[in-house]
Amino acid sequence: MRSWRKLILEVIAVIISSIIAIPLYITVINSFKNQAEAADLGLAFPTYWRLIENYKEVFIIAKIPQALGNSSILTFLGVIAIIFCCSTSAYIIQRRDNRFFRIVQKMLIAGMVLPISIITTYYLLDTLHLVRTHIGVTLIYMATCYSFITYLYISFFHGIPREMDEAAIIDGIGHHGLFWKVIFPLLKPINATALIIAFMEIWNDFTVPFYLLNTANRFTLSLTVYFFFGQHASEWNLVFADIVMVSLPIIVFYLFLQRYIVSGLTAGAVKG
Amino acid sequence: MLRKQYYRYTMFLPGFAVFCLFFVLPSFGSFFYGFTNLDSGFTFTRFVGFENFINLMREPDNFIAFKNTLIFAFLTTFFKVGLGLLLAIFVNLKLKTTLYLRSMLFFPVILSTIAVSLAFTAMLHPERGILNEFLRWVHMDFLAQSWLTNREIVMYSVSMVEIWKYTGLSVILFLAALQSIPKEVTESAQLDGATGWKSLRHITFPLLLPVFNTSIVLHLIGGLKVFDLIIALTGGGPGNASMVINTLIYKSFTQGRNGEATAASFILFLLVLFIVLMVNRLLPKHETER
Repeated sequence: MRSWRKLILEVIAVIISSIIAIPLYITVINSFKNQAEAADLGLAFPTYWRLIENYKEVFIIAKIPQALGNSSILTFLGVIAIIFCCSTSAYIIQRRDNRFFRIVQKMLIAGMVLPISIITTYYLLDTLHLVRTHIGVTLIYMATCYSFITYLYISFFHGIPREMDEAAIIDGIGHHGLFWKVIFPLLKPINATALIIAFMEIWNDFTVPFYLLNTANRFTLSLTVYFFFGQHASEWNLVFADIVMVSLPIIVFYLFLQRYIVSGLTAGAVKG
Repeated sequence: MLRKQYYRYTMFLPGFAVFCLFFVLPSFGSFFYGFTNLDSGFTFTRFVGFENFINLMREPDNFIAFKNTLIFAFLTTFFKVGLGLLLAIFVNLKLKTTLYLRSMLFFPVILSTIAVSLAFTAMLHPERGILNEFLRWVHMDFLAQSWLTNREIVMYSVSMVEIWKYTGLSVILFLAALQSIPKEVTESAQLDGATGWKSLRHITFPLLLPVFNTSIVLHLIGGLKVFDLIIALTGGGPGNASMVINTLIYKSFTQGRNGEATAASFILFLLVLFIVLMVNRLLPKHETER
């Protein structure tokens, strides 16, 4: 009886896994077919495995290298700026803790919940001549991620005792040295969490570049795959190859850092 | 004196200034420009009062976006949290296959929504898509649908994709909470005769309540802000059948009616605020929560 129940549960687990796996499988397998076979959108193996041809073709016509470059620049700039700005802000907010900073904390909570007002943001960037620039978009990411990630840092600073600061101050350290030499090295775990959250947020984002980087040579990976689909909707083999290619960097990132990503996103969500 | 010297405002300011300039300012801006006839070149000639808001609410083509946003947010939250809880308890049983299932579940969460949505336009293809093929294979042809082109069901189809993608996130949240329940608690309950459902009902659920509340709020906010999923799956179609507030904003924007787009974005702002405050008040609080 016991083993029967166990078997049923195992079968259920397999079924649920396949609900998740089958769409992924279809995407990958059809990216290796020719156009006529891929149009079937089915589960069958290709009669001839076009292992590289489709990918080579998409790589060139979808301008993947350029998009990869754009996504990387945005993500890199964004992540660095976010870690730098949020950790410093959070440190002061947590250590000072006066009435002004309590109001700031209320603003942060509102910022986590409320949506960005995209049209007036566009207007603002337009006025500053920052539309269709990497800097403009990076600033938007800093602003949208600021509240959440600063909040994460604040709760982390609660765990670093003030005595640490005082000891360093007695040793005669300056205010820059205090943060960058004494405190910042202690932030490794929370920096990793912030990095992962900001990375996922920016790398996969579609809305902001869709409005603000709407010019072919500034397209990010998410944008290229969207517009590629618009132009080649009937060539499913190429569309699937593009989807796989666009997803590969984040999959590699996930495979290497799986444990940290899962715990980072969990910590982030629960505290937030 | 020590504080002023070592915890300087100049250190706090860079991040906060960017936040104020690029997040807070545009939000207040929408309060102002929503009442003007702002055009595609961002100039306006007059204040139009509530005209933009009335247009948005009165036109059936626009109004459907508000209805759809609410349906989408509540429906997907219900399933993501419900299925997430069930699957977390299931995965926590630690069978051979559940370990595999666990890493599988989280996989869609990390993928880009655009990539997932485009792949799902293939899965939901009315003639050759795998879903309909499967339904025909098990002889349930009557269930086979034009998932993304039937006005009646398109919102449910897109919700299904969202649920497929994000249930893993709430599974992971619940799982973390489940594993933080100390073994002694469940064991002593077992000694007192609480097994199976009883232990679940009186021990596990109350301890999961905080995570339960967090994930409801988290998914509701995410659902209200939905944009890329709809753009990639249906583009708001057929007709306007799957329009949501964010696609409505985009439509008004591309048509050069920025005043109206701003008003719509202001309504979304208020809607999110209202729903989060409401839900926070209505959710069951437990005495173990501090």
